[in-house]
Amino acid sequence: MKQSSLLVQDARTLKRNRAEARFRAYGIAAIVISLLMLTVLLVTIIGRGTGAFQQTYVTLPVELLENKLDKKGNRDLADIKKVSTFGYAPLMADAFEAKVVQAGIETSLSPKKMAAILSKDAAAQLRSFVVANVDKIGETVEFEFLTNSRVDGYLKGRVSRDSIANDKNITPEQLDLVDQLISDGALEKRFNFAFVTGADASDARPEAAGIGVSMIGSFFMMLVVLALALPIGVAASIYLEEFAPKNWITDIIEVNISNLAAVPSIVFGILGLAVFINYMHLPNSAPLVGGLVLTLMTLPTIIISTRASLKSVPPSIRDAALGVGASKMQSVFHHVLPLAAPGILTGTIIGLAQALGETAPLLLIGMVGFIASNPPETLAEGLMSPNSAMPAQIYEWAKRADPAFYERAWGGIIILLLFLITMNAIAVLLRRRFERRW
Amino acid sequence: MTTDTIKIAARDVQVYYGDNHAIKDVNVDIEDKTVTAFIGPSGCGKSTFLRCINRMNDTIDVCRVTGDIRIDDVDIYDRAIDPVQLRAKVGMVFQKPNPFPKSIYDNVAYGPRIHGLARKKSDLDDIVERALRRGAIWDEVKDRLDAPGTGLSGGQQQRLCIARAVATEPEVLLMDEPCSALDPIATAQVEELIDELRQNYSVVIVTHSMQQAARVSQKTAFFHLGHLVEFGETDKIFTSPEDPRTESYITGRIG
Repeated sequence: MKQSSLLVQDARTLKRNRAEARFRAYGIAAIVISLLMLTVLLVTIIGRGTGAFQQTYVTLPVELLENKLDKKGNRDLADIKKVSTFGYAPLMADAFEAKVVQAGIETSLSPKKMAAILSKDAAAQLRSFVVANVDKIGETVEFEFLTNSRVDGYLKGRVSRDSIANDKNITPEQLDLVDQLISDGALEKRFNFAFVTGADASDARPEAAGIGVSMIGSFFMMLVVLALALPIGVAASIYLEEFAPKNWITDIIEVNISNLAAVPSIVFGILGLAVFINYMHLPNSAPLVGGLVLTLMTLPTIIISTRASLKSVPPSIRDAALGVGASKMQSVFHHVLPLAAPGILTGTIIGLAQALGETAPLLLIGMVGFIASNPPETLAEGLMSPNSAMPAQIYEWAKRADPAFYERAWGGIIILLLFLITMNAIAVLLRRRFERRW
Repeated sequence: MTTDTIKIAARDVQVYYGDNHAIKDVNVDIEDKTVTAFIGPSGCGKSTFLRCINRMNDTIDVCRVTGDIRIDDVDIYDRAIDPVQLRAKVGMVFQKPNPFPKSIYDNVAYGPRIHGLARKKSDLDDIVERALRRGAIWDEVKDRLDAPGTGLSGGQQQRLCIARAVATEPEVLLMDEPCSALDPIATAQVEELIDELRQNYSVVIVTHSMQQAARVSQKTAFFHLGHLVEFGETDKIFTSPEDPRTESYITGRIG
């Protein structure tokens, strides 16, 4: 045999090494590409969505004129309530007129036109304050009003003087006024807590829309899913994995559970419509129904992950328990289940995260649409009164015409992603914390 | 050496795994306070037969046992027998040490707890100490009873498993190749322990090591292809076997 030196690589070795180097390069390239995509995704979402967390406000002292709000002067709440939001418009026009004089702002706008930079929500805000504080009538109170979405867009750079040429909602003169109010300090952009806590608003008032109520809707749905899918799923898995005889019936059940996990979620939606709403007459748009539908959708995921984690508990543990005279049930509940618990919880959290982001089945049970409810006050109300869910709300905003809603859709996505990331992080932590080696 | 009281009597035992006839016509009388070794090549059915004695085969769906196995003249395959109660009376030690992933204390205390053997915490403490002493591991672990059982060395784990098995006060102790995962020093410790356990229990041990069978047992049974070929005094089996198959096996020609 030919003597070869170990110091010189032969052709085969070189070829092998080159192949390995190529493979490594492919792997690195794949990772770089996916990281890039992730970065683009995150940058886009954050770039477009952060605007929703800021809103433009005007600070304005308003004189609550007695002759407009309480003509009889007897502070009778019933009479005061008769004054509609239209009756409050002159007050704001007056407030602007006074503000312009006080700040020394030069403008050709009529007071009414000046007040038009406010949100349509402002009159309602003023009215509900007066109704709640009747004794303040006649005094001058300082308010923080939302501006309309064009002014807000102007401050955020979405609206410019060029882009409003054909916009009848705002004029260059009004933007001049806005500029002067900014330098006066009366008008500014600040953190918009109402976006996180508020309810959806109508098409004309994008600046007042918030995701808070639909967040509560999502929360109640998750409550239903957790309360139903976890116990049912875990019980079914334990029975199938530990107790059920292995025969053709259990084989069929197993195949069907795997198939259910792959069924498009809209199918569960139409099933929910047929069974829960049309047959059982549960209310439309109720988080209870949404939760039931999502439970159906999440069950297979939980069953599959629970069975996998039960399977991963070594049989020697079962033998050990049976060997000292434990019953089948004792061996499962004392030994197998505690060891499988981290895996079960991880699967459950991932199932919940999936359900949290699901929109399609909600379309069919009326949870997608303009549902501007007040935050529910009781558990029953939370479950039964009409509500939306976070992804449904995002979809609803994204399809509306005003670009101000589009910004809110991105902002909603940021909040939804925060929830999903938190849930997945908990799942990872659980896995790390309880990972066992035998 | 032996006591002549029959503890376990098997008559015409057949075991089937589905269509596979794994144990054929086994008849054997196992004496009390004696170590009986089952030897034979892999797949000869010695472990299967061992697992019949505490009905561990019940957990295998396709397994079917016929014939008659009696412990203290009670048919353990009788319908009225609850295998869970039987297993408390017939303890088992497995091939691979399999402590629960719990503390040393809880490992031993688990059996007595589920069988309600201790009313007070102090009673349980006594039971655990006694079991660990019988398992010849008390001195090594008495200062760290709260440490996880899985953190012990292989030999210690196996002795812990033996302690766990004796904690429920069984009458018979089945051991399925208890030393196959252990090094020679740990094996020696376990073998010594088996010899001591003979004082109180009837011990049945399955082993691949003929030296081990010769060292620890008083009676030996040789299994081959599902048949019990020869059963008798260990000395006699190893010095003057009657069956040519036994002779071939112990001299290393088959197996």
